[in-house]
Amino acid sequence: MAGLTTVVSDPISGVGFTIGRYEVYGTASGASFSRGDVVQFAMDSNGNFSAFTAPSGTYGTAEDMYGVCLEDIASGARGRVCIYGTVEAYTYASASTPSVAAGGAGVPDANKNIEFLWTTTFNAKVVASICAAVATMSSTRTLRLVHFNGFSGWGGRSGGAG
Amino acid sequence: MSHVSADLQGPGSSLSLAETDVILTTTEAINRGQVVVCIPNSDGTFTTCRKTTVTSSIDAGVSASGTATNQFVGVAMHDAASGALLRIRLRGLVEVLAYSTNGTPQILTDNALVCSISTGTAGVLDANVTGTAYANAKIVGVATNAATISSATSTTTLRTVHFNGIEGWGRFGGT
Repeated sequence: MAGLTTVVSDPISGVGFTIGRYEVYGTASGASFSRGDVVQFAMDSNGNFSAFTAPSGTYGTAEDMYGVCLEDIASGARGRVCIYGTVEAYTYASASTPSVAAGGAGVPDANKNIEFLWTTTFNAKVVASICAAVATMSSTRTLRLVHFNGFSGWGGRSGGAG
Repeated sequence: MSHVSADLQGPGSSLSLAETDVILTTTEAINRGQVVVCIPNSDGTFTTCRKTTVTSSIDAGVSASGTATNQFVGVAMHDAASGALLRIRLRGLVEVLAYSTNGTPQILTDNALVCSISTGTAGVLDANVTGTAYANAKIVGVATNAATISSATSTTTLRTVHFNGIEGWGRFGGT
């Protein structure tokens, strides 16, 4: 199991920046997973994270920690998972076929996707921000580059429609 | 190109937040203290920025459909012409242009600030985070001291805040 520590800022060098990246090893529990699948880490009674499953809640309404598989991982096997950084993840929109602008926010769904146009869900955990605009986000799950933060999220939770 | 990640400064007898600065090319003229949006490239990197706008509330973390959006924002550390390199602060203590539209126009210590969506306030933070218009807005500033400032959108003032334009300090749940 990889230990999670405070991320350290790198020195400034040149023009531009990227979102730093954290990868951990985890064990696939109960199913096999593909590269780009969104997963939810299971916490043991000591507060450790070692195994992961498909996301269980609707849009992450419980306080769970998420990652994106960086490789195909068979059930019971260990594999690399990104918990923070720029990563290709499966994206999806169930409600319609929306146009998503760069910076559009996504939440984890139970089908291992980053879901966009998740309407007015309260308490959804904002874990992803898409890097490039998508003219038509369909219900066909597609790998796309996102800025991902499966632990603290990008600003935390949605307040719903207000 | 630098990487950006979370950090707390220490150890010591007090806590201060580590500062994260980056240099981007601005696509328009910017003044010190103005709030800018880091424009993502298709490969996920950031090399350019622009002022936050009020025509699209997506900069504040709010969408018309009621869902949250996310932008990475920073604060300009100096004046810069369009096309020039600009040092921006993504995290840490910084002076930022701010105002408040509440009834008693002031910023209180610990007030949360978000990117303004009020007309005429591009590139500034608003300390009046109330109502439904700001529901889901990403809180990017926390005021460090109280101050009486104008509520007029034309007279924004430099205020010192703890800033986090990457992860934010949570989101406003609306009322």
